[in-house]
Amino acid sequence: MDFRFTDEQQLLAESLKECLVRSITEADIQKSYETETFPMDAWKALAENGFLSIGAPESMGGVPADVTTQVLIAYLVNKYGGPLAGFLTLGLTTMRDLEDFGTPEQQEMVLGQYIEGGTPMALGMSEPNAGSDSSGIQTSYVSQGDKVIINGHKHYNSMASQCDYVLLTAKDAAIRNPYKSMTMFILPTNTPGVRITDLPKLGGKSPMHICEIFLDNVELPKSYILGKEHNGFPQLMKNFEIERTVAMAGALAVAENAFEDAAAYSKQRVQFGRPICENQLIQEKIFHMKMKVELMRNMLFKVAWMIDNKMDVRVDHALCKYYCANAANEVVDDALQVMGGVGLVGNHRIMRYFCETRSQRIGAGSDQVMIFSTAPQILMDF
Amino acid sequence: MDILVCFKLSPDSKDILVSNGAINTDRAEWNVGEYDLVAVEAAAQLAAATGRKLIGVSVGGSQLANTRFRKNMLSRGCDSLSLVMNDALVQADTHKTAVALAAAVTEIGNYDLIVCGEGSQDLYFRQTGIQLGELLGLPVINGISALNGIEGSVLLAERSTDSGIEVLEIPLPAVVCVTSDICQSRIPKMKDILQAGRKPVKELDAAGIPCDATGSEIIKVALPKSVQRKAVNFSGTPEEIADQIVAMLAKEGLMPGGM
Repeated sequence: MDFRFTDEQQLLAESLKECLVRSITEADIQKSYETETFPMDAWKALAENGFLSIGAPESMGGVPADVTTQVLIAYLVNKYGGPLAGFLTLGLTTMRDLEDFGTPEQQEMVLGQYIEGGTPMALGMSEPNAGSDSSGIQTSYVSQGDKVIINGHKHYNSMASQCDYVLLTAKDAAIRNPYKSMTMFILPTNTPGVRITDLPKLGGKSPMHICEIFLDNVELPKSYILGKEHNGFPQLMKNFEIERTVAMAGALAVAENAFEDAAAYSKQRVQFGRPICENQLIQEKIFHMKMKVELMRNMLFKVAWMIDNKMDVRVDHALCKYYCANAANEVVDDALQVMGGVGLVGNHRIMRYFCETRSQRIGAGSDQVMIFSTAPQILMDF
Repeated sequence: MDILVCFKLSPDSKDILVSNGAINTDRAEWNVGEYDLVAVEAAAQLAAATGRKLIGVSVGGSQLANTRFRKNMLSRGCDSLSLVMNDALVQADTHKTAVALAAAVTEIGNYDLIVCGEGSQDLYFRQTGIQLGELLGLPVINGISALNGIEGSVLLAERSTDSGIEVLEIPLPAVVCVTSDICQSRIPKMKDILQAGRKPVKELDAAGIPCDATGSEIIKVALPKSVQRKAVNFSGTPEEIADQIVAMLAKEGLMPGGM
């Protein structure tokens, strides 16, 4: 058994880390939160150094990459790039959908600008009545010749107001069965009838806006259908195992950063005449944080490796999603406890992590969805 | 004619362990220091601008067999590598290294410029490049802060000094050592990393290379003992403070020669 990354993966990681360290500092990240502006300069630096074309089709100048490499990239961008991970996670997720279902023209339209430092596609799936139950969408369309008219309302759409395209799901109003009526569309956000607003979010100001999308008689040519018409639901299900795995790279990176901050702080902070790291109650937290971070890393890359080896990850990806999301919350909470007031007052990044990590247990499949969709699978073996 | 660039594998300083004043590199990862990576980039830019091939050259121990190290250097603009591996060259001093390098570049041949870095990341003696030029009987100039091009058989270069910038025309063949701020080291792109494994690496026959030139011998590398700060405050006029400091140094036995 060999846990090492390949030479190429190690060199890519070194190179990406160097690019991030040179392009974005903690002060830049803080400024992006204060001004709620996405750090486009650093994003373009990633593009200039070719990191956004990893995983894109070779025909477009992309470089093929397996899931392990994509998870590694997502982990590094989350670890060193702060909000850059917001765009990258959307980019990696939707790139796969475009590759699997998109026409060459659609790939060129969306990915062409993306790999040169443009915006990814935001996800337009969640609705007020369709969260975990993505088949319950009410946004619908009617066909009129070679175009469709879409009406509806989406919400909780990460960064939609900052992206040029949204990957939208809508159902054909003429078909009753929700599993057979859903169609995916590539929606340019400047299409007439599209209105996108930002919603307040836990933690306050952020360069990664959470949005609401209103669709009022939006006309789209049928050439903007992604994949097959009425095949939206199976398309939605095809890549979600990979998407959840890539999303957990962010949980690992944030937990690891929080742990590192807390460990370093515990050696500096002196109370009662000695560093607090000499107290066994603090050492217990350090030990548990480190253990959880390593378990997250092991689970995450094992699932990525299983996907690359075409193994069944129905159970494993859900265990990984649940564990990483929960362990990240535990680690960040412990880190904040070690850091005390520093984690409550001021502008330390642990404050951002504390707020942002909570969403990991809800987005991309909630804790409860992971359990109820997986426990029966586990029990089938007995 | 090709351009050669020399670099050294050495233990990563962040992996070095210190215990009881002794330095332990057993667990350290070996890599190429930032000063050498900058030299590679400066040479790669010149090679690209002048349409020449760039050959990376290194002499050292079995660490040079590491495939990640090789691909790393080949992803940074080197067209090929020529390496001399002999355990007698592990942590060799500057003279032994320069003698082995001189023999290696002579065997490689077909070059008119050798680029070296400012110094190695571990010992930073800044001697190897200068000795290499001397051994080859070539002009050698260090402190080069810009490589501007090659016209005919002349290298156009610059050297920053305290009094201004020297604009140099260096007759080739020559050896130059570039400063650590001549440029930024490269961020290799994914494509370069993937292609690196397909570029040629030549292991020169160590039998033909002198690897045991007599030089200095490092017996021990140790850290000085740390001493508690004395926390003495001096006060008075500048002259009085100067006298107090001298008296203090004398009292501590730190002025063995006396005043």
